[in-house]
Amino acid sequence: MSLFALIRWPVLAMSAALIFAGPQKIAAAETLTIAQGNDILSLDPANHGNNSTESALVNIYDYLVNKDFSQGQLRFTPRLALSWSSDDNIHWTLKLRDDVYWHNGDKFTAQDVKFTIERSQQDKKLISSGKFRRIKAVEAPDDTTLRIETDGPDTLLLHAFVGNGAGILPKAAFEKAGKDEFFKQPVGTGPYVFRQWVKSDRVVLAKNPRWWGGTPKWDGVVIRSIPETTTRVAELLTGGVDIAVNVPPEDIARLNDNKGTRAITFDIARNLALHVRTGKDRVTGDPRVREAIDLAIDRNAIVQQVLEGHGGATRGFFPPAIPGFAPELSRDIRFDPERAKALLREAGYSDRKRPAIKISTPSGRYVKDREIVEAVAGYLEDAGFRAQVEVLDWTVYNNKVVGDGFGELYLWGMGSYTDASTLFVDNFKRHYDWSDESFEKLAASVRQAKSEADRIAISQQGQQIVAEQRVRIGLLFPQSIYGVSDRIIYTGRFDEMIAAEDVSRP
Amino acid sequence: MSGRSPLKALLQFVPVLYIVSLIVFVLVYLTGDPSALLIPEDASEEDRLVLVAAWGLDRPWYVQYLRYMGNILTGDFGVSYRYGTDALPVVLERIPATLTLTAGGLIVAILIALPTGIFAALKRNSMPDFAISAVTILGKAMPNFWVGIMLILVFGVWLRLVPVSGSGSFAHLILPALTLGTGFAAELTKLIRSSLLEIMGQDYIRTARAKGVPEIFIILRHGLRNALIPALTMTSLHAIALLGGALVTETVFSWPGLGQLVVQAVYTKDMAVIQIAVFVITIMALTINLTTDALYRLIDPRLRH
Amino acid sequence: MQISLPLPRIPRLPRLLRSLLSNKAGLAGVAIVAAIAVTALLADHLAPLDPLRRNLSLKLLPPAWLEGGNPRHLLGTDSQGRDLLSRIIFGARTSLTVGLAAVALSSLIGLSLGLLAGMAGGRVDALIMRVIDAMLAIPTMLFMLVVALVAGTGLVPLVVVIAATNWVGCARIVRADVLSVKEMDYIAAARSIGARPLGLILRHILPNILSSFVVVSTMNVGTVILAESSLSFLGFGIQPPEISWGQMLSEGRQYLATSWWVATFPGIAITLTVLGVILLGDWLRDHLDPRLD
Repeated sequence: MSLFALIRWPVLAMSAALIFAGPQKIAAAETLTIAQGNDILSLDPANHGNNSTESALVNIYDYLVNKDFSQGQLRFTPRLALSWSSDDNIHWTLKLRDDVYWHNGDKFTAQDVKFTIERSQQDKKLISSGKFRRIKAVEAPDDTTLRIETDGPDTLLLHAFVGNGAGILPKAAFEKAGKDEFFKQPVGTGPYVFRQWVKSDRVVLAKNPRWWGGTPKWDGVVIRSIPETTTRVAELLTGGVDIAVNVPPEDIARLNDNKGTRAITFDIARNLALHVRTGKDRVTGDPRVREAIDLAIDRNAIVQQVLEGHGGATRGFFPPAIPGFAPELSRDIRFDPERAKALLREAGYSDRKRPAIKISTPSGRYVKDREIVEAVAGYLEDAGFRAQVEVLDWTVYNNKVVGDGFGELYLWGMGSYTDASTLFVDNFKRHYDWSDESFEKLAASVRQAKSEADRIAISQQGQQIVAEQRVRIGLLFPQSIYGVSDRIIYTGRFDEMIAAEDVSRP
Repeated sequence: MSGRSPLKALLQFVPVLYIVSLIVFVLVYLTGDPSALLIPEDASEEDRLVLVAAWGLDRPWYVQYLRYMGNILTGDFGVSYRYGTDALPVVLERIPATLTLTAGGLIVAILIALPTGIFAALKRNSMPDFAISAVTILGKAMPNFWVGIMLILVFGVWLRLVPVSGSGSFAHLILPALTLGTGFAAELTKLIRSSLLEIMGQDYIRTARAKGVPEIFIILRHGLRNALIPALTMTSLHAIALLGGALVTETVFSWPGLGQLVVQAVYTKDMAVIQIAVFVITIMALTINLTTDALYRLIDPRLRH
Repeated sequence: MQISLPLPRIPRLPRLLRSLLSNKAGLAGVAIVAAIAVTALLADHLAPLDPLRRNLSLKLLPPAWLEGGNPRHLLGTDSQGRDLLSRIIFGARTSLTVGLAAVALSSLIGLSLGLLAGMAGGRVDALIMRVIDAMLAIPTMLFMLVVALVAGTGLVPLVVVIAATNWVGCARIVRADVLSVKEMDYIAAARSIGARPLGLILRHILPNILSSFVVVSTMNVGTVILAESSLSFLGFGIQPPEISWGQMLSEGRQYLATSWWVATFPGIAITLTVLGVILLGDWLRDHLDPRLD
C-alpha cells in the first residue's frame, strides 16, 4: 500500500472533471466579453424579472420596438414592428417586418407575436405574466399585421413591448419542442445565437449571419457572472473581460491610470429614495418628524463625497428622461439642519428624548447603498435623531420589503421603469401605512388617461403629493459606472442593457 | 468507526437522510414565503397572490411537508423557483466543477504538507521547524476570502501569472485551489510531522538506525505508513467539508460549483435546489466515508474482520 | 456507606505555570489572547477617538506614516472617515464577545447532549448520534447560512447561528469520553452500588472529561471568529453601529486595491487573535491531554 492510494481518487475525479468542464471557445480577438455582477436567471424572457438577465437576453430575442433614450427623452423606434397606430388608444394596428428569420431558419410572422402575448397571459407561473394584462384580444390577419384591443384607453401599450417579458418567441419552434426543451437551445430573431449557458459562470453567444439588421459586429459574445467586485475589476485590468459593470467610484482613477482600460459613467433609469412607514405607532407617523428627516440630509454632500460626484441630488423619484419627470422636485432641494431640529422640538422631542429611527439598506445592490445610508444616519444623528442602521443581503432585503418587515425608513432603488405612472402601482397602504384621498383619485384616473399629456400631468401631481407628505423621501439619481477596455468603444445605456451591437471596435 | 461493515453503514444512512430532510424542511419553511423573489419589482399585490397560489405556497405547513416527503420518496424533487426548470439537473451539473475544486484543494494541501511535514520532522525543534509551524498556523488563521482576494491581487493583477477567476482550464483552478488548500495544509503538515516523530522512538526504528540505514529512508519507509491512517481520516473529513462548503471561495473566484449554487438557493429560498443539493452532498459524504473505510482495511489488515 | 475512590487528575496551578514557561509558542498564545482581552475590556480608555464619529471629508485617509496621512488617525480612516484604530479596538470587544458567547452556548449544548448520549445509551444515544451524523453530512457554512436566514442579523442571532452548528464536535468528544470513563472500574463499582446518575456525573465523570472539553472549547473560539468573518462576507454579520472585525474586513475588501489599510488591519487583527487561540489551545492540549492529538 502506498501513498498513491491517498491521492488516487482526487486525481481520478479531477481528470474526469477536466474533460467535462471546458466551455466552448471562440477566437478571442473577435469576441466581446462582458462581466456582470450576477448570473442570468433564465433564458425565458418572460420568467426572470431581473435587469442583468434581460441585458443578456436582448442579444438573443428582439422586442417589437426599441426604447431609445439617446436623445435624453424616451422615444419608441421601430424594431420588429415597423409602424403602429391607434385612433382611440383602444384598437391598435401594428405593421411588422417582412424580412426577419428565426435562428432555426423559419420565417417570423405576426402569429409569433400573438403566441408570445397569449402564452405570457395564460401561464400564471411566469414572472412577467402580468406584462400584457391590459390586452384583451390579439389578432393576426396576415403575416405582417397585428391587431390589438386593450381593455380601455391605454396610452402605455408600447411600454409593454419593451423590457422584461417583451422578447418575442417563435410559435412553431416553441410548440414543437415544449417549454423545457425549447429553453435548453432557445431560438430568437436577435443578432446573436445562443450557444451555451454554464450556470454561475457564463453565457456564450455566436454571431447570427442572417440577422435582419445586417452583419453583427462580433463573432461571439461571452457574458460572465462575477459577483465579487474586486474580482470583476481585476478581470478587466488583466484583459480577461472588455466590460465590467458596477465599478465603485474609488476605482475610477485606477482604471483610467491603468494602460488599456478606462471608466465610463452615465445616467440610468433609477432613483434612490427613503421609503417611510407613516403609521401612527411610529415616530414617523408625525409629519413634522418626516419633514425633519427630509431637511436634515445634505444630499449634495452625499453625492459629492460618497458617489464622488457621480449622481444628482433630488427629492424626486424619476430621472429627467422618464415621461412624467417632475422637474421642481430636483430644483427645490433644501438642507436645513436648524429647521429640522426646530421641527423635532415642536414635535415634542429634545436631546434627552430623541426620536429613534431604524434605517435598512441592502449591501452591494445599488452603487454605494450601504455607505449612502450610513451617511444619512449620520445626518439624522446630527439633527437630533437616534439612528440605527440595518444592513442586509439583497435577497433577504427584498423579501422583507414584501413582508413589510422594516422599521421607520428603508432605502429603495426603483429602476428599469419607462414611465412615471409606475408610481401608482406601488401599494401605499401596505408598504407605507399611508393613504390620501386626492392621491387615490389620481391613481384611479391614470389608467383611463386619454392622452400622453393627461397621463404625465397626473403622474406629476402624484409625485408632488408623495414628496410633500414625505411618504417617499427622494435622495438622488445615481449614475452607473462601468470599467471598459480600450479595445472597444462603448458609452453605456440609460436602461442598463448591454446590447453587443452597441459596442464597437475603434 | 473503521470496523463497521459497508452494509451496516448503508443501513445507518437511512435515518441520517431522514433527519437531514427534516432539518432542511423545517429551516426552509421557517425562512418564510419566497414569493417576493419570484416577482418583478413593479408587480402588484394581485400578481403576487396569483403566483403564490400557482406554486402552492399558500397551503398549510403539513400539506407542504407531505408534498415534500412525497416528492423525495418518488424521487421527484420538483422545480427550481429560481431557474424555472427541473431542480435535479441544476444540481447535478455543478458536480464536476465541485469535484475538480475539492480535488485541487486536497492536492495542493498534500503537495505542501508532505514535504514540509517530513522536513519539519527531520529538522525537529530547529529554527526551520519552528518557522514552518508558524507559517502553517498562519495559513489556518487567516479568513478565507481575504486570502482569496490577496491571491487575486498578487498573482492575477500584479504578477499576471494566472487567470483571475472563472473556470475551464487548469490555470483557472490554481488560485481557488491554493485558497482552499493552504488552510488544510496547516493541519496536515502538523499531523504528518507528529506521526513521523511518534515512530522515531520505536524499537525497530532504533534497530534500523543502528544498522546504519539513513534516517530519511526510515522516515519514508515506516513513518509515512504510520501517518497514513490519521492523514486519510483527516483528508476524508476535509473532502466532505469542501464538497458543499467552499461557498466563500467559489464566490470570490466565481467558480461555478455547488457552493455558489447553494448560496444563491438559500438567498432565493429555492427549496427544491436546497433539498437536492443537501441530499447529493450527503450521499457523496457517505461514499467518501465508505471509501475511507475500505482504504483502512487495505492499509491495515488487522481491521479486517 | 462510604467507599473511597481515587481522585481524578486535576492539574495544579504551579505545574501549569512551569509548563507554560517552558513552551514558547504557548506563552506567545497566552500573551496574544491576554493582550486582546485587555484591549477589549479597556476599549473605552484605549481608543484615541470615538469609533462611530464620521467625517466624510476625511474618508479613506491612509495611515499616519504614509503620504497624505493624518497624525490624528494612526491607522487611517474608513469609507465614512471613521478612525480605524479606534474601530479595531472596539471591534475586539464584539469579536471576543461573539467568540466567547458562541463557544459557551455550543459547549453547553454539546456537553449536555454528549453526557446524555453517553450516560443514557440505547435509543437516546442512537438518536443523538444520528442527529450528529446528519449535522456532519451538511456542510457547516451551508447550515449556518440557512439558520442565519431564519435567525436574522445582529449579535444575538449570530451567536445562535454559530452555536447551532458548533456543538457537534464537542458533543462527539464528550460522548466518547463518557463512554470510556464509564467503563472504568471505580465508576462501574459506584454504579453497581446504586450511586445516583446526577451525582455520578458531577463527582466522577465531569472532572474526568474536563480537560478534553476545555481544549476543544478553546480551539472553537478561533473557529467562531473565522466563522463570523465568513458570515459577514455572505451578508449575515454584525449590524452597525456595532463594530466587529469581520464586518470591517468584509466592508473594506472592495478597497483592497485602492485603500489597502481599510481591510488589512482588521484582517491582521483576526489572524493574530486566531493565531493566539490556536497556540493557546495547542499548549493546553499538550499539557492537559496529549492523547487528543
